[in-house]
Amino acid sequence: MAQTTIMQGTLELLILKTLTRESMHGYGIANRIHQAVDDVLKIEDGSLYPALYRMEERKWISSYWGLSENNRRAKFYKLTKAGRKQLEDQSANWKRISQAMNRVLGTT
Amino acid sequence: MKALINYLLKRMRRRQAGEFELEEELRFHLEMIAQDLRQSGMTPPAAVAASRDRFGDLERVRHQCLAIRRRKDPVNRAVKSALIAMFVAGLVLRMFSVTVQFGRLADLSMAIAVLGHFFLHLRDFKSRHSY
Repeated sequence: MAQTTIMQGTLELLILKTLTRESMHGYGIANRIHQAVDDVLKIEDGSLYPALYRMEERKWISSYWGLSENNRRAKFYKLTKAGRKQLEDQSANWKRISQAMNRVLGTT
Repeated sequence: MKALINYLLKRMRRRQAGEFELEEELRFHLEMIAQDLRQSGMTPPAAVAASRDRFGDLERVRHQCLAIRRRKDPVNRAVKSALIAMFVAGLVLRMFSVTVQFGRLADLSMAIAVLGHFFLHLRDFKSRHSY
């Protein structure tokens, strides 16, 4: 299947959505995203970290150190109130763009 | 003076702690990928190589994360504020300078402020957009 390289804003939106259910460490977030996008989007795991750090800087997410499922120390990320608001805004924006593109592509 | 040295040492230690935490976080990720791959039947050397491949450019990631951390640094913010103050002072001095020397001092002050800001913005821009 052809893979598409992901854009910065899209990755942030995927991370925000992934963290809505529970706090996760970077590896968990990467796995969840890989499962969700089903190899359609090409995402290197490493690209998550600058995005996570940027999102933490903007206070969309916060982090804490905890224990992973195999009892190792890991840094967990969780969504903040500002992050939820950002997710709502970005999702709405994404839907608007997607609808507009569909309309354009559907025009003969 | 002693307070300044203590502050700088504390800042250095905090920066080092941040770097260690980043190292630990990235190492955890790489080791978890390798562990999963070993469990799915891959040999340990192949799993390590595949984990690096899936992760991407480790050095670039490390560099970008540290650059983002640096942006949050209060000293960095203080430098930015000082540069703005320097520019405003230079502008005021330029407007009211009565001698050539004061005029040159004002020009120098504004030039340093503009160049300093440009340098800081360029560094921030690179860390924001290089991925």
